[in-house]
Amino acid sequence: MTSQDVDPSFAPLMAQFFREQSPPERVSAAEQQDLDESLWAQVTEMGLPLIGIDETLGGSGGSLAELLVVLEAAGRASAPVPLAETATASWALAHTGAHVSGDLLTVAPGDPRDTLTVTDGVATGVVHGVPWARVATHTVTVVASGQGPVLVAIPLASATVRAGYDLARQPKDMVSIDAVPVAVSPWPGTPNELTARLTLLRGALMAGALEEVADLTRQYVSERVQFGRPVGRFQAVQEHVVRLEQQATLALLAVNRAAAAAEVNPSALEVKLMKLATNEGARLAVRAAHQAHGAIGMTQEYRLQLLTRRLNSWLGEAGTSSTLASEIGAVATERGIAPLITSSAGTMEQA
Amino acid sequence: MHLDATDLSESELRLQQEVREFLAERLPPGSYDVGLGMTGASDPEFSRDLGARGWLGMSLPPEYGGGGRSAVERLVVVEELLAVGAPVAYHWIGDRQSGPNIAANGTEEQKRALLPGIASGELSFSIGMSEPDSGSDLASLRTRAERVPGGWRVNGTKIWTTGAAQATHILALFRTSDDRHHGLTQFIVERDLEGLTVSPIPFIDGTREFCELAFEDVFIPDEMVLGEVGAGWGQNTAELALERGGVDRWMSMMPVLDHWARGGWGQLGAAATADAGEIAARCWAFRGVSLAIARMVDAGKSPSIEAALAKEMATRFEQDCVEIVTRHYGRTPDLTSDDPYESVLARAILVSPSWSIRGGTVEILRNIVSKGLARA
Repeated sequence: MTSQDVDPSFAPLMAQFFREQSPPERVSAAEQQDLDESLWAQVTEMGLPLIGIDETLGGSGGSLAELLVVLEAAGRASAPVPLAETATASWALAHTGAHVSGDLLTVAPGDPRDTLTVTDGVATGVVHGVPWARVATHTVTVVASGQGPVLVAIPLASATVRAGYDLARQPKDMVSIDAVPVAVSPWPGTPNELTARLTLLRGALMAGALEEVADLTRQYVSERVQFGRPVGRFQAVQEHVVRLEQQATLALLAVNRAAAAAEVNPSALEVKLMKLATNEGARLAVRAAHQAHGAIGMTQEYRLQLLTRRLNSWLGEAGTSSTLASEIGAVATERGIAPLITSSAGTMEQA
Repeated sequence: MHLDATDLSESELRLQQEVREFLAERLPPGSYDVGLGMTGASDPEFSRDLGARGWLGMSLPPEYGGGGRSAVERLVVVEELLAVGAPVAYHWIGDRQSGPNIAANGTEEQKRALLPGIASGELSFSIGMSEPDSGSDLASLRTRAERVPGGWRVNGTKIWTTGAAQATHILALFRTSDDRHHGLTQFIVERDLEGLTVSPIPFIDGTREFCELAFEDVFIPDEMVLGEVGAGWGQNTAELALERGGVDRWMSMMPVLDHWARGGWGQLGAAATADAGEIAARCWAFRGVSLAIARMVDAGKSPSIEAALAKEMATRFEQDCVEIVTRHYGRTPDLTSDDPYESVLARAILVSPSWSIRGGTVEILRNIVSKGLARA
């Protein structure tokens, strides 16, 4: 299923919901709280985090493509809620056959410093950079075991959570556990599939943010007058506007193509190709948008920073550019670039 | 701007496989001069072989010798040709844009006379647009076609016309009245007309495909006007959507990239492998764009803004590829090397600045996209 198969009325509905319920003032206010409980309640009442999970398992039904439409809209509005994390962790539980409850869950994105070990259902170690851990009931991760990969759900009530923040001042905590009994379920797939799902959802948030940055900048340069005319009339400024439109268009297309590939093969290489291309797009877009805006874009009173701080955070999680480039490079040097990009969706495994 | 995600169908994948098998047999490594995309070598025999397989003029109507196939099917064929640097120059312009333009705007007689030859690879087209005083500002062009009994008399100069020396036809834009945009008309010009002098302009890499066309009282009969008199600007703009959105705007370096990435010059170290990964991701992204644009063309849309948006970034990317591969190559590549990949890399260093100029400079494309976005 691709984005074209989603009911055309769904995207505008979601865009309107997040635009109205997650205005810039509310996003900024959320930075002073652990969680905007009332926005999260609205999001969960609509069942948004459980889209793409079968109703028989307690999910909201619907497709991955629909879930990505929700995340794109959330990304546009910088919605300060753990939507991608709860959706990914819930999907992971359902993937093992478990029922999902709608609890606020999170997922450990994987950090080279992590030391988590699980032996006979007992977990010990430290997991870094866990988004929203302080308000979540569980964080999930896939680890290797003697019987193959297993999904581990760590109860955060039994963990020490040290508060930290990402660049957008959203919770990003360090979780330490010492001999905590954890639920362990066989993971029916490759270990990569959990990260791949999180990466796809992050990609959709990034695509939404990039579209909003492009629209916001285009509007700003059409209104801001210097030297007697809108600055958007200057060719040098047009270059920024074009750059932003290019990267927003590329990102959303890449997310939808990667999602189509993931429907065929959940650990398809396309997910990594998407994240690497979108990271590059975000990097270019953040620079172009700030340059086009000038000083006002650097202030907290103006909402560009809500978007660019998130993009800068997401660049560094669920796949950093240098790791992704090496991993994709290993495939490209083995198979060649043209064969890689012309193969049909979902037929290339990750390295 | 939104582009729909799309992938190849089963039958499109079968076509891809057929083309691969054909090329493996027809162009074994070492048997041809590896080219840089659309400026690959000119080989009329190779072009006729493609035509015989139905892989030229694919989207032209079958009643005029075309394949009656889709823009996506053409993309499938073209990306395989460009991936190996095949000798495509002879048929390139006719297949990509002159054929579709004539099919859309030509008279019954023009279609009967020209489309079969485009589809068979017999005919070679060039584009006569730029003039000494009209480059990016195309609407200022001055080469004038004046009405005379039975046709038109043309005087003036066209310049930067690639491949005109070998072409059988030139699709030219002339001024037929003083109205800036509505005073332009497209003509199909036979290359051997009396009074038309084609002179090569040596290109930066020493090749002689670049030409100047001098028109001195050249008589062109009425039946060679393409479309309506005064409608040339619009027809030309539609043609540019075909010219700008394709895979040829980011695949020029593909044979060199693959030779390098697969260790043709030695196994890649960690830094080069990461660079190959970044290039692969960007190629993958651009391939999605070209495929989406081709599907739009097949759906009857004219994605000219989308094509301009794509070309602006794709040609800069191609230039990045030249820089990256050259950096890893370890020495300045030799234009006269016996290694065809080394010599073509050397040529790429010299000619790649042209990639963001030909077919609309990046600066003009930014104007087009900005105006298009402001209207949207």
